[in-house]
Amino acid sequence: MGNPRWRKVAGDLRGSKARTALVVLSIGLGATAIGLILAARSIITSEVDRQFMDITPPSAVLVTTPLDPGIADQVRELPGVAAVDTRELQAARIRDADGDWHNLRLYVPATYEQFDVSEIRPESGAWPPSDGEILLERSSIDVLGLDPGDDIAIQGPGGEQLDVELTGSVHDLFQISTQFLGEAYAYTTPATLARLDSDGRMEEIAIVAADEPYTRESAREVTVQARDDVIEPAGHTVISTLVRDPGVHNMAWVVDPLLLLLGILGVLALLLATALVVSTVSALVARQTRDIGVMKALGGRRSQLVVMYLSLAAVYGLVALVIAIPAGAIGAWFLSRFALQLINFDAGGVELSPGVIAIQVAVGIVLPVAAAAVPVLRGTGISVREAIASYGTTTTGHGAVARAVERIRGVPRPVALALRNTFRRGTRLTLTLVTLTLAGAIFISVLSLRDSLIATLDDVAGYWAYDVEVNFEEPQDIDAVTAAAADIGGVTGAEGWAVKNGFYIRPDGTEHENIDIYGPPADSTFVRPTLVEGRWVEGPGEIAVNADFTREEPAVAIGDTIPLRIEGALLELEVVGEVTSQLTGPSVYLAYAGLAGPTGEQGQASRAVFGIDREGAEAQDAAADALEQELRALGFPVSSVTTHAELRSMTGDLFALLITFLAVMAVLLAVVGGLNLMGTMTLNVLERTREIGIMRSIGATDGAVLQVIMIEGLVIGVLAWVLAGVLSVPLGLFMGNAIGDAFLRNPLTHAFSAWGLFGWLAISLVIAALATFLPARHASRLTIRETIGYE
Amino acid sequence: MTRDQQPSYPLIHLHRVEKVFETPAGQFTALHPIDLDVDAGEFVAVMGASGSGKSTLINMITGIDRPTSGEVWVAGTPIHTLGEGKLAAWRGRNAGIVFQFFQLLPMLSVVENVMLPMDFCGVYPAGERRGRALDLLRQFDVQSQADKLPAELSGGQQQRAAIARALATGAPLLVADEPTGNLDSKTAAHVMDLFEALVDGGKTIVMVTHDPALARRARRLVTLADGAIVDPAIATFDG
Repeated sequence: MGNPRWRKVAGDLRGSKARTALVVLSIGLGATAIGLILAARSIITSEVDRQFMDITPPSAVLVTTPLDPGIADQVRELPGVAAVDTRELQAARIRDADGDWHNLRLYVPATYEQFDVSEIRPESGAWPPSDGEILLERSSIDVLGLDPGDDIAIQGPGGEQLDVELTGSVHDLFQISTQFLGEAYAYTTPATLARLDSDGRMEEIAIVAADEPYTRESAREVTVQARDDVIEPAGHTVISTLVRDPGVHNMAWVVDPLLLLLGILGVLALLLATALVVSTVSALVARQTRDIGVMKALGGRRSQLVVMYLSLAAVYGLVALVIAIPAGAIGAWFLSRFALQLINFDAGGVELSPGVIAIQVAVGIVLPVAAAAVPVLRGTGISVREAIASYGTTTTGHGAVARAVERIRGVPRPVALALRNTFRRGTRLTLTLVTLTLAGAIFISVLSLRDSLIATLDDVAGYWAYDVEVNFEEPQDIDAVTAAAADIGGVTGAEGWAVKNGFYIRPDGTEHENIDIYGPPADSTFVRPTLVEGRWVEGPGEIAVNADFTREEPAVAIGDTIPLRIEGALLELEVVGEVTSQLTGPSVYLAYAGLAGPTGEQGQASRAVFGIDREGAEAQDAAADALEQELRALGFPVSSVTTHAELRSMTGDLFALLITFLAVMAVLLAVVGGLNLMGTMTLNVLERTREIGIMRSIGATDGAVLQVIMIEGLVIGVLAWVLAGVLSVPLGLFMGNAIGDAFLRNPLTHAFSAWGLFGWLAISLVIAALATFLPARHASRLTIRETIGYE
Repeated sequence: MTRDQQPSYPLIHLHRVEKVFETPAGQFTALHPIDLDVDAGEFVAVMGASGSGKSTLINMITGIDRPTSGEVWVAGTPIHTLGEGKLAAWRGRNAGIVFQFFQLLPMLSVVENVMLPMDFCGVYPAGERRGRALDLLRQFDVQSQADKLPAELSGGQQQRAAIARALATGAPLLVADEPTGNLDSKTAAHVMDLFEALVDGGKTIVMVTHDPALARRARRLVTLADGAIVDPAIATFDG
């Protein structure tokens, strides 16, 4: 590169390695984020689709009472059915490595030799299990802390204990990971299952529709066909159905908001990078004003100079891409691996997607060049005379703000001088403020989003005001349960709830797949619904629906009478209110009498909820153990026990992902924003080296010079903080709504992070002080001759 | 081109050139309407007190600044009518400028600084530019500093390199604004020797100076006071 023009560009890059590194880092961060997100999304989407379809997922799953032999074959022979598989299911409890009990679904597939639907694949150990052995789903092994070879205790609903050996693990991809659902999954033989003496055994029948198997319409059709034409005519009961989003894994929705959040933050990081490029190139061009004048004096045309400086910006981008392209691919692999394994999928490989690389190149080069265009065009437009005459002393801005500041009285002289200096150069101040404000607003918004997620989690968890929930294999006498609980120390209250699954029947006769139906007492103190519209149920014949239900059935409105089919009974119910989502899908509420009566279970409850006199997870665990022991000892068939802390924890794990990502991004953005301030302030000071010399020549001490410049930096830091605080409110709302829609399909409970606000103030002040101290100290140590002769 | 080969029309022709600056304190007339002709091959010194308009005058000649009114013709071109782009290109080929503070680009080596105008103006084939630049540096006895950065040179060496740069494109006119203002007397005298040699070789030089001793080295003196030429031919020296 012997051409002197390009040697100059190379010299500018080398001339300030710190500045070059700062800009390259910032652009690289943004380009990496874009590449990482796009590639991760591509990997995750393709792997989830490929792996999920590979197991032949069902169009619908029906949970029924145990089926007679041959029922599955009859369903298989239905004209709209392509494939059927069944497995027996028993709700039980399993003890983990620490001795704590967890809810368990114990499965016995029809055969281990071949799976036509929802394939279960061996991971390690024995396959198939022998009598007296179980296999655990791999996500369950991690949560329970067990290892193949361990002796495991399983407890049936009647309290009978089964000692089995854990001999291996499987991958049952269709299941929701134990980490999120809180339930473990085990697989065994019919003989082993038979040793659990239980009347509550169920059967899962998974069906693949023949035509368009993964549409809701097809799924609903085969569900109704199987139920109405085969299963119920044979005298069996369909307890529940699963037809949510056929062909889409139950946990795929967890990843989407993660990617959305990263997408938003990636775009914001790019905006920051753009602002940084504008600021840096602006400062560079300003610092080279004299050189620009000289080059024009030597014959350089403006177009030639523009190309030189834009090439500089392009080189920033190119160097950033050298880092960003591989970093994005590797980061995408890590992120996709993390996300896929989180939802119990296998990790994919590293991919270098040409499409993603092309976008990164466009972002990494086009964006910096476009950002640099404005300051370059402005800077190269200066006349030769102005350029050569003005460098070293800044021209005084005299806008309205600067004039207003000059009228401020009553402040110490250094502060007054610093205030005026701050507003002298409007464009430079604006650029610095824009970058720092954006970084600060993002930082505060990210922490506010974190607080919003926690507030939302608290609201959701606060819906259920009980401490322990016990579910029975079949409805039990409420009075007997509450009397038993009264003997347990620490239990302050007990209620019996009717809990069912049912089907909403639309006006056209089609059905919504099963919904959870809760029937607490009308005067229950253990449920605190948040009303969106209308009122809570007060008596039989009334129903309150949640936001998930109304989103899936938008035609249902307050005041409508809707039919609900529950275990063969058809109820006509008036919709009196809508409540917020509990993040568990469509749910409805009836008064206890309105649910138990029509289903012939008046005075009975399939769920009992309890309050205790102490707070905390440990107290709840202890109470849960005591209740389970006492109720089992009295012969109550306990199928599952869950504490409020466990319920909160399941949802909290999902939130924790987002919260962790947000915290990491907040730190990264603080670094980028802080580096930008540092770079810009440094250049601000260096440009005024001659002024500093003049100040010292008329009597200003080193300390006085330092004081003025540092106060200026602090003023900018405080100004940016105020603006960031204001901007963070709408930005936080936007991010909260976007994440709420994507993650929860409901708005978040918005919260503003005071920690974020004052944390950013501290960061701004520290960075402003550091960014001005070093160059100011350097300038204050130069001799007057050096500074006045500075060019 | 030797002095005998110069054309008969002036190389520089200023007609009723006036320059008025707008300042926060009001209008300031840096140059009252002036007329000035400089023939090819002349060595002209422009003298005057601070604020007399010396720098403004040579800025008119080089096109660095535009007149508020009047005409500026240099080398047959009405530069007062040219746009910025064409002016830059014209200036590179027709007027070499020597600054008081040298104004070498700090990140380029000495030889690269000399090559830069050739690169901007597209004169001489690219493969020949370095050789030509080294020849020019040799003429001014700084070829040994060719690959050093300007900061590594003495003031005198930098100014000689700057003069070489001003001649890089073969411009017929050399304009120097206080070229020895930052040099010791011995070095200043040496620079004046170089200027005289250039004039003997056919260059036209217009030099701003406040030093009467240096002004006497020129062949003609133009004195400015309060933006007006006192007497354009008051000191025509035998040359």
